[in-house]
Amino acid sequence: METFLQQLINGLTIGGFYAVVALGYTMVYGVLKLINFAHGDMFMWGTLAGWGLLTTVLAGLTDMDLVAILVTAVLVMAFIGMMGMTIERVAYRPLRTAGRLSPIISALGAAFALESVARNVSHARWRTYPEGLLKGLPTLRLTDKVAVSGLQILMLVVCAAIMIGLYLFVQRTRVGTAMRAVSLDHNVSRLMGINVNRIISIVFFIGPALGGLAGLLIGIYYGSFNFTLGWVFGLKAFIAAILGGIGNIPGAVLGGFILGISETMVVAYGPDIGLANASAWKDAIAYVLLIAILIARPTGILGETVAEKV
Amino acid sequence: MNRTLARLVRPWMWQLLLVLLALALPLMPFMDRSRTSLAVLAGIYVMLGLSLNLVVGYAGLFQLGHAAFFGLGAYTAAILSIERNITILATIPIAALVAGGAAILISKPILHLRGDYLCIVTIAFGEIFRIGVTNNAFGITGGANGLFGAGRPELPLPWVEPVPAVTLALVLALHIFLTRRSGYLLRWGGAAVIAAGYYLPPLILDHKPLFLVSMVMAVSVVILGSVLRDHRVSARGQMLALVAVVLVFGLIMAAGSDSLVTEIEGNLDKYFRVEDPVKVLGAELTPVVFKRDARPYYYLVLAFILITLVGMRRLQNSRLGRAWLYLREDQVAAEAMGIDTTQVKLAAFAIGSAAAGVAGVLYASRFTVVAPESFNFLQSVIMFCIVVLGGSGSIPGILVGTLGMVVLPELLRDVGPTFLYEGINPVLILAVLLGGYLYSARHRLRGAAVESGAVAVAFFAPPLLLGEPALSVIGMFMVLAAIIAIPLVRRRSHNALPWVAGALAVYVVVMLLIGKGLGPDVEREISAFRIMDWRDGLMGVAMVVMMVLRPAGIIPERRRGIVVSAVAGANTSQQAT
Repeated sequence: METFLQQLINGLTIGGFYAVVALGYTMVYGVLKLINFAHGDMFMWGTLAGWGLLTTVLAGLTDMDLVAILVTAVLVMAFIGMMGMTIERVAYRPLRTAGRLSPIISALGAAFALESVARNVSHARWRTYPEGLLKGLPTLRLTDKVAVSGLQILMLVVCAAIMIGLYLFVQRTRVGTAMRAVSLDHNVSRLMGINVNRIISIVFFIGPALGGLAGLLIGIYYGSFNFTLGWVFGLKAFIAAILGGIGNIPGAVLGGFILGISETMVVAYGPDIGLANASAWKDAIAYVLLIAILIARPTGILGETVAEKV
Repeated sequence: MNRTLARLVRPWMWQLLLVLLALALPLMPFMDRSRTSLAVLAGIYVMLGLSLNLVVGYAGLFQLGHAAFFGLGAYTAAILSIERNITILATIPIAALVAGGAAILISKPILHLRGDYLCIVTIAFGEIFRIGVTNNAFGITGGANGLFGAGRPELPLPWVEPVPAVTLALVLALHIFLTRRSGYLLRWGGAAVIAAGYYLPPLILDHKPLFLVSMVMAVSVVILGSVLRDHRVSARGQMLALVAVVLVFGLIMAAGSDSLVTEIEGNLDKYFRVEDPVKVLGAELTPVVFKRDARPYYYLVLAFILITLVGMRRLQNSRLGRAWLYLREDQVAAEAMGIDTTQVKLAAFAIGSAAAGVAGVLYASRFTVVAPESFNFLQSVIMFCIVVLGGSGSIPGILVGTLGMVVLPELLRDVGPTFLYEGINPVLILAVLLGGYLYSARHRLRGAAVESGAVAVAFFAPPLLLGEPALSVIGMFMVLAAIIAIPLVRRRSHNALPWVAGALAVYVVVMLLIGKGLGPDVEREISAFRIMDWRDGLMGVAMVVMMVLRPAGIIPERRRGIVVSAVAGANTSQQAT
């Protein structure tokens, strides 16, 4: 029971990251019906940019680690947000009428380009974040064996704040309403006086900015990363978005948590149920889960069944 | 004049020319060992492109996990060859069955998913396959290192009976089947002519190795006939062509029998290892095993490509092929026409995957090592790009796509950064880049020429002023950025020139400062630059640029029925301004 609780907490933390990255996928899919394959790599760029800032420019601030991290977070979010807007402008906007195949290739191309630059910038090595970041946070002891580290609490709080904030933003503000309108129909939105291109640009700022923030947080959480992080983590986050029903913000959050928890649980209990090297198979869990859920519910758990427009 | 030329040059002549070029390619002087090897790899990718084209191009399904079926074929061949000692070419039907069967099992539950969901599920299957073989699933895949020691292809020595007789029987059966709608003359008369042209020269000249030439003759007659029929050449024309080819081959054999035989026997020693005869189904066969040299592999792969191509053409014009076409253009309408869309999609998946499995066998036999990393997601993406970049559904497009995605990156390996600024090379590269830009902006040539001039000046100024030719490597990136950026700026403000001039001036100043600051270090820094490190990135940028410039691919397939595509366009409800 105690291991279970501990694994549940670990799973929730990982799930929170999946959820925040999944939000970026789901928002873009909502407005453009496009799988933004570059999103995972922008997330990785968040980790990379955060590492770059914390080890060079802001290295002197590590005594006041919260301040340093706040400054880094703002800079990383601005940088990755701009990156997202640029990619949309260069790689996606010219292809908006070009059918379904071409934007997929273009998105994959953007992902490759981002990953290649990151590989060369980091010289394809594992990079480590400065030691001792946020280690001063108090650990919450639930029982003797179950502990929630301060880092985990912080991560969960930030992820929850992002999700709730984004939900309120989309549901309550004018821009959020415009986003929902654009995701329903571009032409009608335009008739209603919505500047569709501007809304899409905003989506491409917010999604990657949140992804970049998640990247920074995961860098701090794990302590080390390399350039392949974006692809693996990004793909799994996208799967989380699909699990919950793509285009749907609560769905992305739900999918993220389901994925995070099932991964940690399988790794923890795999040996008990006969799966000897469960951790080697960890990456396959997301895919198996995806296939199982899509066979049962073709539009995801919270997805609505929409008849395809003819 | 032009008109007459167009009437004389029929499409099939181009196809024939292409096949002849492909046949002659390894004999060209520039094809050294490594390039022939690369040509074999490219050939395998052409096969993969053709097989994926069936799924993506014809049936319009998204498949980003094709590498898994390629891998299934390769692993099946390697396991059977290593564990059961089955000669590797004999595993082709098994590998095709395994890959095709797996495709049916896997895709049955997911085919009802819509485009993007299907895409992500195929990625998921590809990844599960990769993780499975990396973790040594069932204990037979050799884990992360893969399997070593798959056999090289073995063929029976072609001129020892019963091989010539069996080959002739197969060819004649094919000929008779393919000409079943033509007259008696072409069908039976043609068969008689082929048989005579096949058996008489080697027997009369008493040189058994000439049977090899006879086989080439027989196969080319059948392929030529198939192409001619495809282009609706009359039965009399086909018969004439048949007789002409048989006669030409007969004359070649008669005129050069001795030198041909020495040539054949010399090549046999050079490229093959002759083994002791074995008994197969009561017949005594002498196996000849491929050596490491790439040339025989090239012809093996080419043969498979030609067979696949002929199969594709015939599929395309069949009932199933037309069903795929309707399905791609409009699923709802196709359903209304009584097409069982699930069955038809399943057929596309199964046939395409089986063909990929065959390509996997060729891969295993060529490299004799099968490892998980050869079948990862990047490979699936490369295959997908081969189909889509070239123009989805178009066969010449697949050739262009393979050149761009497989051959070009490999050739880049030889190109060091010094190559980029040696002698006249910077001028040539600039000419190609700006020529491409001028072509894309040909509707406003004058403005584009002025912009190109400005870009060229900015390109040459820093290296010439500082006497550091190495700086032109950075200039090439500037030129690329400029020709991508100028159209974007132009969309904002009509006159882009002030912006272009300003940006270029800034570039020149920055470059001069960098050049002055680094001094002699420039050359060292730049020659440490390894273009292979950036290969994926360059590929990615090229993918984006190609799609933006030509969304339908480089050589798009000619669509049938404009009305259909117009309706399909209205579907998406996502028109940009």
